[in-house]
Amino acid sequence: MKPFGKAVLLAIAIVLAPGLDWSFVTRTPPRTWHYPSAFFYISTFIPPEFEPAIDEAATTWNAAGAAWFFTPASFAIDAQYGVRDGLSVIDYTTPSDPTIPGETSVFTSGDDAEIVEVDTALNPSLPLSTGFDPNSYDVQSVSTHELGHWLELLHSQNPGDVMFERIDKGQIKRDLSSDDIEGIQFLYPPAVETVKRVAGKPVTR
Amino acid sequence: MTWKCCIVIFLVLFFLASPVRVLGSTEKSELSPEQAALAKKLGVNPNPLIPQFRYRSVADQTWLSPWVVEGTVERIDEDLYGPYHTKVRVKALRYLKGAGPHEITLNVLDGRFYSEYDKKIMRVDTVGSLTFSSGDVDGRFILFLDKHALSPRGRETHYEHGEGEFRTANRYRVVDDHAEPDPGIAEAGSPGAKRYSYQEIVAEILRVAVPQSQISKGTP
Repeated sequence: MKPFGKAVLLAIAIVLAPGLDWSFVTRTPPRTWHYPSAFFYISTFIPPEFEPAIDEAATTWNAAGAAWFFTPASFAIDAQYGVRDGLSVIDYTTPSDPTIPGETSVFTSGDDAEIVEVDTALNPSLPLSTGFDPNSYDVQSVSTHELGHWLELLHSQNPGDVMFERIDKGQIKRDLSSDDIEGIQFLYPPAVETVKRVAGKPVTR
Repeated sequence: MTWKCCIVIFLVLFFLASPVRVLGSTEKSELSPEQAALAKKLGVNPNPLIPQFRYRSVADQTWLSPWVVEGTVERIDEDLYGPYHTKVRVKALRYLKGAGPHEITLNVLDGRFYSEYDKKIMRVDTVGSLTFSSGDVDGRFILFLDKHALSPRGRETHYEHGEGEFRTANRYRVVDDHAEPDPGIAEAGSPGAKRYSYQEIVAEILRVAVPQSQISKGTP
């Protein structure tokens, strides 16, 4: 489908969205990546035991049935959180709010229409772990949430969603809720389902 | 010889492990017994990192903030070339905690900036961050401030706040004798989402700030 056609369908879907029972949150209109895929780099400062959890978080979004794909790149020594350097990275550095386990910054074109780079910081000042530790934040859960921001999903108000605004220590939220899936499928609709969505019918999963 | 080797190896391992322990302990606050007793008496959680700042009670926020300022946003400037892309100019009406100049600047990373990488104007936003917009100009706020700076590795000095410059950890907007929590806090049940009367929030801030300042003279 031509870009103009996609834009028109997306605009119609946005108008219809308030009437539907969705709790995912995004911008109006949402910004989009130029390609429906993003390479993500893992900073060499990330503890090696975190890497499988981060990869698994990306896989979770890839399996959500949307026209989107995270592509693991490689380790990036020079990529930094919060710096426009052409590399979308998951870094291990204290975020601008030091009290949150993860934070994501989105770089866009000057007209704020197209996403060109996204960086995530996992906070080394807070306890993070890959096990089921009640005293730590779960790396995979935090990573899944932050990668949702890469897709332009904002904070949900439904505590059951991965995209809920807050996570507690020991809380495991590695699987997407139906709202999370509706969100990514809304933003990156599978081509064959676009017409159904615009008509306001339920999406077939 | 073997024993000497063991001792040397032990000492090397001990010193190598020490920084790890120090980093790992950053979650815990280091309070004097007097401060710990006061925190307990006031009913505040002195842990600076958990739970997340903006969801905490006003008492906690006050304890953890070096400065609490009531002020009016005068204007918002953009800085395309500096490390902080949005500069919020505030006239401080009074310091409820700490002390400082009457004209202050709140540094915000988000905003438009000139990208050396792209050689053109770009934009950066941090999801969920506290930002100011044109609708906030002339608005009166109670601001919880600190000097925390994003410090990408190797650029520590690049992001420091200058004299009279702060980071906003949280804000309440004063409207019709009420202090409204920031709309970015949607979790209705959290203490940070509570709406206060103006008198109530000022009294709560002073309840913590005054005794805390009496036992920590010399620090804001």
